Amino acid sequence: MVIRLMLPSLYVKGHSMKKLLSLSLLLLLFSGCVTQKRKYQWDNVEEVVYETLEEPEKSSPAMRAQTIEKTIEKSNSTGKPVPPGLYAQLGYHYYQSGEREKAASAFETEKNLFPESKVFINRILKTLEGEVTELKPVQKNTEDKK
Amino acid sequence: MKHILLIISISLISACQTKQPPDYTNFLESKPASILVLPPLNDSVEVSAPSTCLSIFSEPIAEKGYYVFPVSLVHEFFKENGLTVAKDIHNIPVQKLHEVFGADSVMYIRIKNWGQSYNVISSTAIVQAHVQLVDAKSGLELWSGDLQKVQGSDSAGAGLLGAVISAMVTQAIASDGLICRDLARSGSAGLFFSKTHGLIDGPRVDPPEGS
Repeated sequence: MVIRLMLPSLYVKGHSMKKLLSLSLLLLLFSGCVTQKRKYQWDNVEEVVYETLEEPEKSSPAMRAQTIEKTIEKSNSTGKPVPPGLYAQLGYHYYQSGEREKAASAFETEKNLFPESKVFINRILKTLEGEVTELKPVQKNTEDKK
Repeated sequence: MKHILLIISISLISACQTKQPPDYTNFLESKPASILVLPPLNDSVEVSAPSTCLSIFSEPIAEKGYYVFPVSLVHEFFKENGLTVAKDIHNIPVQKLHEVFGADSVMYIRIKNWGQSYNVISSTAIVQAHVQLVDAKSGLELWSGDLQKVQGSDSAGAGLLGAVISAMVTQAIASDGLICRDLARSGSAGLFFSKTHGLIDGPRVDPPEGS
């Protein structure tokens, strides 16, 4: 009821102080449960990732690369950094669409921005050239990790 | 007025915490800088749930200050190396994952429920998953938590016909996956960002404003 009382005041012309107080109070009430301000430039990264995983036939690697490029451009203009993994994904789509030099550059950028990624990016590069990594699962009787 | 505000505040806060906070000892000692999120196990009937989950989780985990390995590349890497079944991937020894990926920690997700159930006069969308974070060197559990969000069709005061229509509309929307995606987004943010039950801040988190 209190929230319903507060909401109309946000739409009243003028009374900007009252609006500010109502908004602040609303935000305060919900602040324990909602996310903080976002550090990275996300745009529609979630969509591109989902499409790559689940609906790759929906568009092409070149188009996905273009979408990511737009996010990077936006990041340059807003000053919000590019999220972890995005340059790596860009590199992968460049590689898939035959743009080897751009791919190498994007992967290198990922390693420079996020040194935590070095081991994996180097391994991905080798995998793309056909190298196989041994990853043998252990046959378990009980799920002791869960 | 003051009392109403207090009651609302308490009920909103308590809605976010329903069980004991986890033991953070291992987590604080390990202080991982990176998290490898593995393809989730899926107990639900929604085939796309793991992909939705992976695409949604990356953001809050990264915002919490961790390097998150690009989930689509991780998926591709496993595929190129002959592993396409999540259960097999979950059974790889964690130290091997540390060696191959250079990951400090590994996140295991088991999706228990994802999608909607439809009764005649109501429709309920639910997302439910158990999430566990494990140190990649020692194999020790660092943290675990549960994502659970439910949304029913709102048919209050609409009468029987109204309730049926409302349920059908919710069902139609839920079949598109939009409701479940929204629930997963808000649920995962609530899970990872919880001040008492969530992930501790990773090394890449921005310092608080003013410090």
